[in-house]
Amino acid sequence: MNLYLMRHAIAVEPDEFFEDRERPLSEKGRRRMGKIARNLKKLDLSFDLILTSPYLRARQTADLVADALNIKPKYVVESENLVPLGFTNQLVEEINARGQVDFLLIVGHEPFLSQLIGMLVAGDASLSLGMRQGGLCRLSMERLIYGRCATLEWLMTPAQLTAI
Amino acid sequence: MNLYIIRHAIAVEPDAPGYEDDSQRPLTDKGHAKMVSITRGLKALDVHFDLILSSPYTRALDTARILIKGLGMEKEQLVTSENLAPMGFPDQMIGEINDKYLNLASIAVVGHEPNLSALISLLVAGDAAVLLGIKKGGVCHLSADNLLHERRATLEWLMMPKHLIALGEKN
Repeated sequence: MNLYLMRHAIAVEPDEFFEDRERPLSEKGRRRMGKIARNLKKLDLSFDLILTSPYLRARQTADLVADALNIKPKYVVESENLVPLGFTNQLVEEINARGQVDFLLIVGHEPFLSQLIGMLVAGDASLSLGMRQGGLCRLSMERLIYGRCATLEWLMTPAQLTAI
Repeated sequence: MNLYIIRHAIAVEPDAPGYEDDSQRPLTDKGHAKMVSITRGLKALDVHFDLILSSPYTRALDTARILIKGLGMEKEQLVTSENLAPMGFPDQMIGEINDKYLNLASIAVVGHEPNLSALISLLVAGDAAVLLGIKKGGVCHLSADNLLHERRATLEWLMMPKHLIALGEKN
């Protein structure tokens, strides 16, 4: 299984007008993410399913990827397990309960994504990883479990994904 | 400090006639050409090194020399270390950097697997082993205030050779 993890792109700053859950991508975030999404094609990436945090900045990030890669909206699914205070072990359970998915993208928040990657590649949720907004990490594994089961294949910054 | 961990590019096969000595296997033409493109990719990312530490094995030194040339560095900025040879110990490599090169802002090390994965594991995860897919010509960037292995370095990025080549060819 190939598990790709992406952090949402740059959102508008928290202020009195937006609930945290409803903060959209900023103009710059949307523009950069559009470029990154188009570049994912150059990396020959394709996903069978996108699981996204229901928070607007993550959902919009997931939709930009789906749009660029011609992934049908029904394969973009929101998961409450991906919210900023979600539990990484419950997300692993949810993924396994869905049955076989060969190429899965999850779109979420930090430090949730770093904690999940650390658990899967080292059995240690406290690894420090440079998961920037719009960054993407690829893991591969025979079988997903909540523990050390995956190889970190690559981790790319948004600047690299934009430049490629 | 920024530490860039680079695996040597593709070398002639271990059993190729004339290259029975593992330490003397050079890069293949393809390995050489790919490494030139990878170096161009690093340049496009604005990566630069104050020093390159290399395994004394030919395939690592060939790789390091391509970096020196492609990044416009001086020959004196390339130093070999037995700690990076296949028989070397990653924890001693960390000790060597701390003893000699702590004043440098950016260092590249060129070596072999599985030693490089072990080095990265020590720096980012302490005792835990990190499963990493660092391919020949692949590059991993770590950042840290210092390299004491009980401290945690940040794994900033890990790029595959083909992605660096794509960047290099575009720029």
